Amino acid sequence: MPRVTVVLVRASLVHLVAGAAVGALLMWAKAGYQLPALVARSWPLHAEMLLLGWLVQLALGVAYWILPKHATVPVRGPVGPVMLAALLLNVGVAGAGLGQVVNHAGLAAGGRVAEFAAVVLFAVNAVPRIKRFGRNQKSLCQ
Amino acid sequence: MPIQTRLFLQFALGYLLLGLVAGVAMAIDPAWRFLWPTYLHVIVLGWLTQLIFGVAFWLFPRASRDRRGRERFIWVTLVLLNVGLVLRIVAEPFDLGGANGPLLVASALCHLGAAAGFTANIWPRMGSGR
Repeated sequence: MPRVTVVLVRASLVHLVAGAAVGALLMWAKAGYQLPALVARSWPLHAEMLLLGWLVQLALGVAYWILPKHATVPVRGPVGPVMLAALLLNVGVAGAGLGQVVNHAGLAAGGRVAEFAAVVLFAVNAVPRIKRFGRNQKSLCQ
Repeated sequence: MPIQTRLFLQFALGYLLLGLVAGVAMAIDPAWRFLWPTYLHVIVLGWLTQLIFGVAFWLFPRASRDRRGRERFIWVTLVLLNVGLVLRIVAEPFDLGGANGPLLVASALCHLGAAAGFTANIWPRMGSGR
């Protein structure tokens, strides 16, 4: 499993646990227990962490691993854009989630732009790999 | 395919059907819109996340030739995820007197435990290369 996939999948696991923890706090507040007001309105952070931080990030990590490889090195395409995509996605999730919780429009918008840029960078690597398996190309999951 | 994966996938398909039934009910009669948060969690947790847990446990690199990491964590994940979903399906849309709040908190804590259990199984398997 390539290093970038390890980074993306581990980061997605962090978002899964952290997003579930935020969800537990939200449910605590919904059930009427006394918690700071900021906690009660943190559902955008919960959604951002679980939909983009967990699901999308996991999908990107696994896609980088299993999409058809090129016949020449680097067999999975240039790694730089994907590492930058991982960085931008995680910064974006934090910015977009926290920006909505604290009502900071600039932070939320910046986070969304970072998320968008992350997916564009990932596509730069992935789109050329979306193709038939060829005679000179290696197969899945190595 | 290991038994844990088969159970995850069977539960996932069950929740997908249940979620779609709730979706049809909400589309037919707006009075059912109170199901929306439950519907969302049944689809995203019951179907999508459960499917991912099952397939990842099956296909991610093994910790050794014949072991898929610390399997007890996956059993804990399977139980907590589904107990949490059942609690949520019962306690979120229906009035159970004073029991709703504690049951919903218990449901969320079950889901947090399931997330931690899955992480405890998968994390050490990353990069093992098998």
